[in-house]
This record gives sequence, C-alpha cells and structure tokens, in this order.
Amino acid sequence: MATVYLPVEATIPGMTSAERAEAIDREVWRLRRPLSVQSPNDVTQFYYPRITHPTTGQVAIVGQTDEEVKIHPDVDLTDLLALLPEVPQAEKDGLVMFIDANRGGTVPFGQLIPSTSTQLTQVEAEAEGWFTDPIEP
Amino acid sequence: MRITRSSSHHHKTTSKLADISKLNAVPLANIEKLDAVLAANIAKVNGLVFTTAGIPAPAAAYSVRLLDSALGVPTYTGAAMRVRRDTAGGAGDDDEADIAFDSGVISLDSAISNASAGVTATTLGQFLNVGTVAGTTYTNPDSLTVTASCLTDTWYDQSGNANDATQATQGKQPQIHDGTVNTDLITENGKPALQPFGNGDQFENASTGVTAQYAFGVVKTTNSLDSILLTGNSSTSIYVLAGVNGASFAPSDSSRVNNYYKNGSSYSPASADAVNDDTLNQTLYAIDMVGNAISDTIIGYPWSGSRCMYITQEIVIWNSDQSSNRTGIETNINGFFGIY
Repeated sequence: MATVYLPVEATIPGMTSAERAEAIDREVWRLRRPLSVQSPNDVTQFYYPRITHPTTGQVAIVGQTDEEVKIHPDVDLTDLLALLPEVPQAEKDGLVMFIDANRGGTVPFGQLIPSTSTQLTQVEAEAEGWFTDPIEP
Repeated sequence: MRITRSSSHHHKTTSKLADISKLNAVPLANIEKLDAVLAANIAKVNGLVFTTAGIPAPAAAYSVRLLDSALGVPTYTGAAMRVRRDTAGGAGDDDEADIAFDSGVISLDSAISNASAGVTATTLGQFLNVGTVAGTTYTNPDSLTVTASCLTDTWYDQSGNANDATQATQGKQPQIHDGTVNTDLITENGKPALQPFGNGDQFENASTGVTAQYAFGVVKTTNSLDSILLTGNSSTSIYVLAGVNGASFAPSDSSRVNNYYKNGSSYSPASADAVNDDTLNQTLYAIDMVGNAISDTIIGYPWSGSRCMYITQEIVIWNSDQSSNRTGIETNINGFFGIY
C-alpha cells in the first residue's frame, strides 16, 4: 500500500488543525458506517491514524492511497463537504457523483483526496520533520 | 463480627485464613466487604491473616481473564472487552458488542450484550459466524456472508476505576479473531490474546488516566512489529519496555525504570533488541517504576505510526510500590497463564 500523509491546515475558523483533522477522519469513517447505521454505543469513530508534527503541532491524516474504502449505501456527504471549504464546487460535485456511483461498493482512498490537499510521501514527510522519533538515540 | 467455623475447633488457632475458602458459605472471592471494611483493607480477622491483605486494588487491570481479589481487584461483574466485527463490507459489518467472561476467560461461548442495532447473536461465536470450533457449531443468526474478523476497541478496566483502554480508530485496533472459518480465538499458550496486526495498534486510556508505579504484563513480541509495553501521555520520550528487532536504543526511558523482572527473576536488558529477542515467547514482566511514575498511561506507543503494542493477554498497573507483593502477584498470573 502507498502511504500518504495529508497535513491538515487550520483554515476553518474556530478549528485547529487537530480538530479539523479529527472531524475529517470521522467523516471518512462515516463513508463506511454512516450515522444512520451507527449505534449510540459505537466506540469506533475514525478511519485512519493521525500524527502530530513534533514541532509545529500540525496534524496529518495517514492514509493509504490504494486502500479500497467501503462506501455504505446510506452514505451522506453533507458534513464531509462542509469541512472542505477550499475545494472548488465543481470538484465537490464530482466527488458527490463519484460516491453516488459507488454506493454499496468501494473506492480507492486516493481518489477521495481533494486536489487542494497537500500530499506527502513517506520520504517527503520525513524530510519535513514529521518523524522525529524520540525513542531513537 | 463473629465468624463461626463448622469444625470442632472453636478456639483461636494459628491457621491462616487462606485455608478458609468460604465464610458462611460465601466464597471469599465474592466477599467484597466485611462489616463495611473493604476486603483489600483487611489484614487480619480475629488474628488470622488474610492472605491477600497488602495487595491494594490496582489503578487499572486489563485481562482476557476475570481478575479477582488475589490481585486486589474488587468483585468485577462487567464485560471483558468491546469488539467490532469486520465482514469486509458484507452484512453486519462494523457492528459492535460487549463480550462477557465465560467461566472466567473470554471464549467463543462468551455472551454478548450492548450490541449494535440489528444484532441478534447471543455469543461471540455467533457474532463472528465462526462455523464449527472444537466440536461446537455456532449458528449464524445475523446472516453474515463470511466469518468476521474481530477487533477490540475497548479493553475494560476491572479495577473499578473506570480507566477503560480504548481505541476509536479502526486501523489501530488489535485482533482477537482473524476471520478464518472454523477457527478459535487467537491464543498464546492456549489462552486468548490481543494481537496487533500492524504498526500503530495500541490502546489509549480514557477517563483521567492511570499513574503507573508498578506494572505487570503478559506479552509476546511479534518480532516483525516494533512493540512498546507502556507510554506516558505527557511526553513523547516516556516509554517503557520497548521490544524492537535490531534496535540498539535503551529498552525504556533511562530515568523511568528502577528494576525489571522477567518470568519471576531479575532482568537487565541491554537494548530494545534484547527485549525483542527475550520476548519471542509468552513472557511475564514486572516493571518497578516507583518514584518515576508515568502518568496517563497508554498501552503501546501513540507518538509514531511505526510502534505498536505487544501481543498482550494481561496488564495490571498499580500506582503504588508492589515490591513486597511482586512474587505473590507473579505467582497468581503464572498460575493462570502457565508461562514458566
């Protein structure tokens, strides 16, 4: 699988990078398990791990571009789209059509990443200091 | 308080209370209090020594078995863990349920409760549609089209302190069943185990967290993943018992651990690689961190996606020195798991 690091900008007023990343991650999970089928006691709420930059505090979602994300037939994209204000409307419309066409199926995560997102490979993320591992001597 | 013994010996004796399995027909394990005094706080009864006295209730206790007063755990009646089934997009995908202990340990016969809407299964074996295991055929009341793999998103704290260990991210949850039909739970040395299947798998404690002064763990390294027993949530540099194949760095934050004990004996690992090599089989560790406690304890290591928890069967954490009780605690743990 190709790992991709998606640093999340704090571009929504009132939301930090960490809060926005958590909200987006929650909506990615809801592609697979929408609120309409979740139970109040569900513990699982997020799809992908998130990491915090050790110096800037920015948060990145750690996705897999070729992972097939299950799309539940009852998926609702309203909240996810609201978290992507920088994405052009035409691209949002295209995403809605793409998801609608794949309800009950799967889509590669890489095809869900907006064109406006910064995408870092493992090497690029390391170069930008995301992996200063405090355990290593 | 008056205790009547059925034998003819009504006078005080020097017999220890350990020889008494019941009081007024109630098993000792089920006696939480005597005259409003917590059992864990009772050192003697009419001069007779209470064997578990001195072992206070742990700050957090996670296990695939039901723990009891032998480890200072008050009577626990809750579920063992909460799990999610993965049917790869088929019927019943991502439904969750609590699973109970079955005769003191989790099994495919464990009753389930508090399940997602639409779940009609009553046992874990049915919930996963495992087929036939050890002569028992589990029906498929939820009409799954496959055998589900089973991930753990909550490991309930049996200590009574509600420090449940949780993992809300689907990609970081350890497995207890790999989804193979006609197959039992994942086990180590015959007992169920939680197995990480990718780096990043770990539990983060909920609630106010746990301060760890003394910890016991029954674990095994995968040898391929980078394992960490415990991490403090206040600093990325606080880690305890790393088992990493080929790594030369210290097995723990250098100022954190006073003493290690491995399978009941003193242990001085030189590196994380040494710990990895020494944990290729099921192993009981006791970790003395007295005076250097880690707070908001996490099972595993959340600061990097390349670390995870061990294959784990039990972790019990005290926020006080248990040096004087260590041998007794190890004996109890080894008595169940049969490690050494």
